[in-house]
Amino acid sequence: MNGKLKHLLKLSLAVMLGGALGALLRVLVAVLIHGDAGEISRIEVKGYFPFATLIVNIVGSFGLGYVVARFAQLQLQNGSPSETIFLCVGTGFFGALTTFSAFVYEVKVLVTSPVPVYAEAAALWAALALLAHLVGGVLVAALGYLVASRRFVKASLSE
Amino acid sequence: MTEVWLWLWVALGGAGGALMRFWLSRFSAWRWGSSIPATFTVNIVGCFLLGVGLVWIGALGSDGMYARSSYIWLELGFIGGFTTFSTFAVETRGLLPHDWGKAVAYMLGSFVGALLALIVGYIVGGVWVYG
Repeated sequence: MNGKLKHLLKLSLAVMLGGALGALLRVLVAVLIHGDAGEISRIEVKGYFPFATLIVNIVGSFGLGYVVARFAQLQLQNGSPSETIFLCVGTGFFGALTTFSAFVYEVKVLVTSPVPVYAEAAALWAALALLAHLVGGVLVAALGYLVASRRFVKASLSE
Repeated sequence: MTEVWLWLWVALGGAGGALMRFWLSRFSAWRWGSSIPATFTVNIVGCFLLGVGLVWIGALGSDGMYARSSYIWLELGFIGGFTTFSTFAVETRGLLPHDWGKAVAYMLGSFVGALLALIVGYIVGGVWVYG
Protein backbone atom coordinates (compact mmCIF):
# COMPACT_ATOMS: atom_id res chain seq x y z
CA MET A 1 0.00 0.00 0.00
CA ASN A 2 1.41 3.41 -0.90
CA GLY A 3 1.83 6.19 1.62
CA LYS A 4 -0.97 8.43 0.40
CA LEU A 5 -3.53 5.65 0.57
CA LYS A 6 -2.29 4.61 3.99
CA HIS A 7 -2.66 8.20 5.18
CA LEU A 8 -6.23 8.42 3.86
CA LEU A 9 -7.05 5.10 5.53
CA LYS A 10 -5.75 6.37 8.86
CA LEU A 11 -7.77 9.58 8.57
CA SER A 12 -10.85 7.58 7.54
CA LEU A 13 -10.58 5.36 10.62
CA ALA A 14 -10.23 8.46 12.81
CA VAL A 15 -13.40 9.97 11.28
CA MET A 16 -15.26 6.67 11.74
CA LEU A 17 -14.28 6.43 15.40
CA GLY A 18 -15.36 10.02 16.09
CA GLY A 19 -18.52 9.53 14.02
CA ALA A 20 -19.53 6.42 15.96
CA LEU A 21 -19.07 8.19 19.30
CA GLY A 22 -20.86 11.35 18.12
CA ALA A 23 -23.86 9.37 16.85
CA LEU A 24 -24.02 7.39 20.12
CA LEU A 25 -24.01 10.56 22.21
CA ARG A 26 -26.70 12.15 20.01
CA VAL A 27 -29.01 9.16 20.46
CA LEU A 28 -28.18 8.97 24.17
CA VAL A 29 -29.22 12.61 24.63
CA ALA A 30 -32.50 11.87 22.82
CA VAL A 31 -33.14 8.83 25.00
CA LEU A 32 -32.36 10.75 28.21
CA ILE A 33 -34.56 13.72 27.30
CA HIS A 34 -37.43 12.11 25.41
CA GLY A 35 -37.37 8.48 26.46
CA ASP A 36 -37.04 5.86 23.75
CA ALA A 37 -35.34 7.16 20.61
CA GLY A 38 -35.86 3.98 18.64
CA GLU A 39 -39.41 4.79 17.73
CA ILE A 40 -40.70 5.74 14.33
CA SER A 41 -42.04 9.27 13.99
CA ARG A 42 -41.50 9.75 17.67
CA ILE A 43 -42.61 13.37 17.87
CA GLU A 44 -45.99 12.49 16.43
CA VAL A 45 -46.43 9.67 18.89
CA LYS A 46 -45.24 11.23 22.11
CA GLY A 47 -45.83 14.92 21.58
CA TYR A 48 -43.02 17.17 22.66
CA PHE A 49 -40.93 20.06 21.51
CA PRO A 50 -37.76 18.53 19.97
CA PHE A 51 -35.22 19.77 22.50
CA ALA A 52 -32.75 16.91 22.12
CA THR A 53 -31.83 17.79 18.53
CA LEU A 54 -31.56 21.47 19.40
CA ILE A 55 -29.23 20.70 22.30
CA VAL A 56 -26.85 18.46 20.34
CA ASN A 57 -26.78 20.90 17.43
CA ILE A 58 -26.03 23.91 19.62
CA VAL A 59 -23.39 22.10 21.69
CA GLY A 60 -21.85 20.58 18.55
CA SER A 61 -21.70 23.90 16.69
CA PHE A 62 -19.88 25.49 19.62
CA GLY A 63 -17.52 22.53 19.82
CA LEU A 64 -16.71 22.51 16.12
CA GLY A 65 -16.22 26.29 16.07
CA TYR A 66 -13.76 25.91 18.92
CA VAL A 67 -11.90 22.97 17.36
CA VAL A 68 -11.61 24.61 13.92
CA ALA A 69 -10.23 27.83 15.40
CA ARG A 70 -7.85 25.92 17.65
CA PHE A 71 -6.54 23.83 14.74
CA ALA A 72 -5.92 26.96 12.64
CA GLN A 73 -4.02 28.58 15.54
CA LEU A 74 -1.86 25.54 16.11
CA GLN A 75 -1.06 25.51 12.40
CA LEU A 76 0.13 29.11 12.67
CA GLN A 77 1.99 28.44 15.88
CA ASN A 78 4.02 25.33 15.23
CA GLY A 79 2.90 24.23 11.77
CA SER A 80 2.04 20.63 12.52
CA PRO A 81 -1.02 19.91 14.65
CA SER A 82 -2.34 16.38 14.30
CA GLU A 83 -4.77 16.20 11.38
CA THR A 84 -5.89 12.78 12.62
CA ILE A 85 -7.06 14.15 15.97
CA PHE A 86 -8.65 17.20 14.33
CA LEU A 87 -10.66 15.02 11.92
CA CYS A 88 -11.62 12.54 14.65
CA VAL A 89 -12.96 15.26 16.96
CA GLY A 90 -14.14 17.83 14.39
CA THR A 91 -15.43 16.06 11.29
CA GLY A 92 -16.13 12.77 13.07
CA PHE A 93 -17.40 13.51 16.57
CA PHE A 94 -18.96 16.99 16.30
CA GLY A 95 -20.04 16.29 12.71
CA ALA A 96 -22.00 13.18 13.69
CA LEU A 97 -23.16 14.52 17.06
CA THR A 98 -25.05 17.19 15.16
CA THR A 99 -27.64 16.39 12.55
CA PHE A 100 -29.36 18.34 9.82
CA SER A 101 -31.88 15.67 8.85
CA ALA A 102 -33.57 15.38 12.25
CA PHE A 103 -33.70 19.19 12.52
CA VAL A 104 -35.48 19.58 9.16
CA TYR A 105 -37.74 16.59 9.83
CA GLU A 106 -38.79 17.90 13.23
CA VAL A 107 -39.55 21.39 11.96
CA LYS A 108 -41.71 19.82 9.26
CA VAL A 109 -43.50 17.59 11.75
CA LEU A 110 -44.22 20.52 14.07
CA VAL A 111 -46.15 22.11 11.19
CA THR A 112 -47.76 19.13 9.48
CA SER A 113 -48.64 16.90 12.44
CA PRO A 114 -48.93 19.23 15.40
CA VAL A 115 -49.13 17.37 18.69
CA PRO A 116 -51.99 18.43 20.99
CA VAL A 117 -49.73 20.39 23.34
CA TYR A 118 -48.48 22.64 20.56
CA ALA A 119 -51.40 22.40 18.15
CA GLU A 120 -52.74 25.90 18.80
CA ALA A 121 -49.57 27.61 17.71
CA ALA A 122 -47.99 24.96 15.52
CA ALA A 123 -46.45 27.43 13.06
CA LEU A 124 -45.05 29.50 15.90
CA TRP A 125 -43.34 26.53 17.53
CA ALA A 126 -41.95 25.44 14.17
CA ALA A 127 -40.63 28.96 13.54
CA LEU A 128 -39.12 28.97 17.01
CA ALA A 129 -37.31 25.67 16.39
CA LEU A 130 -36.11 26.96 13.02
CA LEU A 131 -34.81 30.27 14.38
CA ALA A 132 -33.24 28.72 17.45
CA HIS A 133 -31.27 26.39 15.19
CA LEU A 134 -30.23 28.79 12.45
CA VAL A 135 -29.47 31.88 14.53
CA GLY A 136 -28.39 29.98 17.64
CA GLY A 137 -26.14 27.62 15.69
CA VAL A 138 -24.20 30.38 13.93
CA LEU A 139 -23.94 32.42 17.13
CA VAL A 140 -22.49 29.58 19.19
CA ALA A 141 -20.13 28.60 16.36
CA ALA A 142 -18.84 32.19 16.46
CA LEU A 143 -18.65 31.97 20.25
CA GLY A 144 -16.59 28.78 19.99
CA TYR A 145 -14.19 30.64 17.70
CA LEU A 146 -14.01 33.55 20.11
CA VAL A 147 -13.33 31.41 23.16
CA ALA A 148 -10.53 29.58 21.34
CA SER A 149 -9.08 32.87 20.11
CA ARG A 150 -9.09 34.47 23.57
CA ARG A 151 -7.30 31.48 24.97
CA PHE A 152 -4.74 31.70 22.18
CA VAL A 153 -4.11 35.44 22.66
CA LYS A 154 -3.74 34.99 26.43
CA ALA A 155 -1.29 32.15 25.94
CA SER A 156 0.69 34.18 23.41
CA LEU A 157 0.89 37.20 25.72
CA SER A 158 2.13 35.18 28.67
CA GLU A 159 4.84 33.52 26.62
CA MET B 1 -33.28 1.21 23.82
CA THR B 2 -32.16 -1.21 26.44
CA GLU B 3 -30.69 -3.76 24.06
CA VAL B 4 -26.96 -3.37 23.63
CA TRP B 5 -26.95 -4.37 19.99
CA LEU B 6 -29.22 -1.46 19.07
CA TRP B 7 -26.48 0.89 20.25
CA LEU B 8 -24.05 -1.03 18.07
CA TRP B 9 -26.31 -0.23 15.09
CA VAL B 10 -26.17 3.47 15.98
CA ALA B 11 -22.36 3.40 16.18
CA LEU B 12 -21.97 1.50 12.90
CA GLY B 13 -24.40 3.75 11.06
CA GLY B 14 -22.79 6.87 12.50
CA ALA B 15 -19.30 5.71 11.52
CA GLY B 16 -20.44 4.94 7.96
CA GLY B 17 -22.31 8.22 7.56
CA ALA B 18 -19.41 10.28 8.90
CA LEU B 19 -17.00 8.48 6.59
CA MET B 20 -19.09 9.18 3.46
CA ARG B 21 -19.37 12.82 4.49
CA PHE B 22 -15.61 13.05 5.09
CA TRP B 23 -14.77 11.65 1.65
CA LEU B 24 -17.21 13.99 -0.09
CA SER B 25 -15.85 16.95 1.85
CA ARG B 26 -12.25 16.01 0.92
CA PHE B 27 -13.25 15.75 -2.74
CA SER B 28 -15.06 19.08 -2.57
CA ALA B 29 -12.10 20.82 -0.92
CA TRP B 30 -9.76 19.42 -3.59
CA ARG B 31 -12.07 20.19 -6.53
CA TRP B 32 -13.57 23.55 -5.50
CA GLY B 33 -11.32 24.67 -2.67
CA SER B 34 -14.18 24.64 -0.13
CA SER B 35 -16.16 22.12 1.87
CA ILE B 36 -19.42 24.04 1.37
CA PRO B 37 -20.54 22.24 -1.82
CA ALA B 38 -20.12 18.90 -0.02
CA THR B 39 -21.94 19.95 3.17
CA PHE B 40 -24.79 21.44 1.14
CA THR B 41 -25.11 18.24 -0.91
CA VAL B 42 -24.78 15.93 2.08
CA ASN B 43 -27.54 17.69 4.02
CA ILE B 44 -29.91 17.69 1.06
CA VAL B 45 -29.21 14.11 -0.01
CA GLY B 46 -29.50 13.00 3.64
CA CYS B 47 -32.96 14.53 3.94
CA PHE B 48 -34.04 12.89 0.68
CA LEU B 49 -32.85 9.51 2.01
CA LEU B 50 -34.64 10.20 5.31
CA GLY B 51 -37.92 10.68 3.42
CA VAL B 52 -37.47 7.51 1.35
CA GLY B 53 -36.38 5.57 4.44
CA LEU B 54 -39.33 6.67 6.58
CA VAL B 55 -41.78 5.42 3.95
CA TRP B 56 -39.86 2.17 3.53
CA ILE B 57 -39.64 1.56 7.27
CA GLY B 58 -43.25 2.61 7.77
CA ALA B 59 -44.24 -0.14 5.33
CA LEU B 60 -42.31 -2.70 7.39
CA GLY B 61 -44.69 -2.17 10.29
CA SER B 62 -43.84 0.00 13.25
CA ASP B 63 -43.43 -2.55 16.04
CA GLY B 64 -41.42 -5.24 14.25
CA MET B 65 -37.83 -5.72 15.31
CA TYR B 66 -36.69 -5.50 11.69
CA ALA B 67 -38.39 -2.14 11.23
CA ARG B 68 -37.02 -0.91 14.55
CA SER B 69 -33.41 -1.85 13.86
CA SER B 70 -33.66 -0.49 10.31
CA TYR B 71 -34.88 2.79 11.70
CA ILE B 72 -32.02 2.87 14.19
CA TRP B 73 -29.13 2.12 11.86
CA LEU B 74 -30.44 4.05 8.86
CA GLU B 75 -32.23 7.11 10.26
CA LEU B 76 -30.49 7.63 13.60
CA GLY B 77 -27.09 6.16 12.75
CA PHE B 78 -26.25 6.58 9.08
CA ILE B 79 -28.30 9.61 8.01
CA GLY B 80 -27.79 11.31 11.39
CA GLY B 81 -24.02 10.90 11.06
CA PHE B 82 -24.04 11.73 7.34
CA THR B 83 -25.84 15.05 7.66
CA THR B 84 -24.26 17.67 9.87
CA PHE B 85 -25.38 20.84 11.53
CA SER B 86 -22.11 21.90 13.13
CA THR B 87 -20.17 22.09 9.86
CA PHE B 88 -23.06 24.03 8.34
CA ALA B 89 -23.01 26.51 11.27
CA VAL B 90 -19.23 26.94 11.18
CA GLU B 91 -19.24 27.45 7.39
CA THR B 92 -22.02 30.03 7.65
CA ARG B 93 -20.05 31.84 10.35
CA GLY B 94 -17.03 31.81 8.04
CA LEU B 95 -19.04 33.39 5.20
CA LEU B 96 -20.65 36.12 7.33
CA PRO B 97 -17.80 38.65 7.63
CA HIS B 98 -16.91 38.49 3.91
CA ASP B 99 -20.28 38.15 2.28
CA TRP B 100 -23.35 38.14 4.48
CA GLY B 101 -25.64 37.79 1.45
CA LYS B 102 -23.96 34.53 0.57
CA ALA B 103 -24.18 33.40 4.22
CA VAL B 104 -27.93 34.04 4.36
CA ALA B 105 -28.40 32.35 0.96
CA TYR B 106 -26.44 29.31 2.15
CA MET B 107 -28.44 29.14 5.36
CA LEU B 108 -31.88 29.45 3.78
CA GLY B 109 -30.89 27.40 0.73
CA SER B 110 -29.80 24.51 2.93
CA PHE B 111 -32.99 24.53 4.97
CA VAL B 112 -35.45 25.02 2.11
CA GLY B 113 -33.54 22.59 -0.13
CA ALA B 114 -33.48 19.94 2.60
CA LEU B 115 -37.18 20.40 3.34
CA LEU B 116 -38.03 19.99 -0.35
CA ALA B 117 -35.71 16.98 -0.58
CA LEU B 118 -37.50 15.39 2.39
CA ILE B 119 -40.87 15.83 0.67
CA VAL B 120 -39.53 14.52 -2.66
CA GLY B 121 -38.11 11.60 -0.65
CA TYR B 122 -41.59 10.82 0.71
CA ILE B 123 -43.00 10.86 -2.83
CA VAL B 124 -40.20 8.75 -4.34
CA GLY B 125 -40.42 6.34 -1.38
CA GLY B 126 -44.17 6.04 -1.84
CA VAL B 127 -43.80 5.21 -5.52
CA TRP B 128 -40.97 2.77 -4.78
CA VAL B 129 -42.64 0.94 -1.88
CA TYR B 130 -46.30 1.04 -2.88
CA GLY B 131 -45.90 1.21 -6.68
